[in-house]
Amino acid sequence: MQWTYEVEGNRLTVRIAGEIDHHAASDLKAELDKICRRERIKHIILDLSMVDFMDSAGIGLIISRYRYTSGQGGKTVACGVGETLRRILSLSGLGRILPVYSTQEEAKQSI
Amino acid sequence: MQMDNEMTLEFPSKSQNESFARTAVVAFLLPLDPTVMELNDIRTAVSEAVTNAVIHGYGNKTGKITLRCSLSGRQVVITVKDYGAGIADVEKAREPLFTTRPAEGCGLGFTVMESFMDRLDVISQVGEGTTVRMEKLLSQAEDQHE
Repeated sequence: MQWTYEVEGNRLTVRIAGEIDHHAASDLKAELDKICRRERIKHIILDLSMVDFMDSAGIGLIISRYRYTSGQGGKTVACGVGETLRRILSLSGLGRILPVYSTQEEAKQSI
Repeated sequence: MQMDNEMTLEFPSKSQNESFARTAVVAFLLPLDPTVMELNDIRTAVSEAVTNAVIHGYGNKTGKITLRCSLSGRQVVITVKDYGAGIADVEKAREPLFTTRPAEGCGLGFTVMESFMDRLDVISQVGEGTTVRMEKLLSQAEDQHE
């Protein structure tokens, strides 16, 4: 898994590529925690358009970001969610609370 | 294509082997020409089972995980076995969102396995380990060759 991030004010955009499993998510979660604290992030956009596999560890990752931004009075949103990811999001129930946009631009406009 | 075949893998409970395990199973099943969704369901379920063995079976220790995949026609049977801690209450562990390690998981592993496969059996004994057995019948390939 590879990922890049961009901070604009209190908004963090994370673009993830590859496979999100427990192995990959553990490191990413720790890094995102550091960035969020250091940059005083309030909103997070997760760009998943380049993710080709995600198991429940990815759900755990999204939930942890959702909890963090909720605690800051902010939002976590996702974009670029393909069919396979949509299936596990729906199964987790996260699909009901996580706003999902087609593109990163749309996601940015929502915050 | 119809076939009877099987494979067994044994690897240490290192988290980087989660990817190896699901990739190996996908490669093993590819000659059957499963649909993209079937393949994704199976690799997700395998990933969950192996992750459970890594996290819950062995925790901070490293132990052995045995993955077996067998085919009978288009019936796929996958077992993931660890020799670690075992599960005291399997029924409780299978409840959606139940987790003993909230920092590492969200309690959806068994729910995903159950939803993405046709059948899930969990046999566990505290101190002896856990065996997860999953079945899935692949749909008939449109273009079959003998």
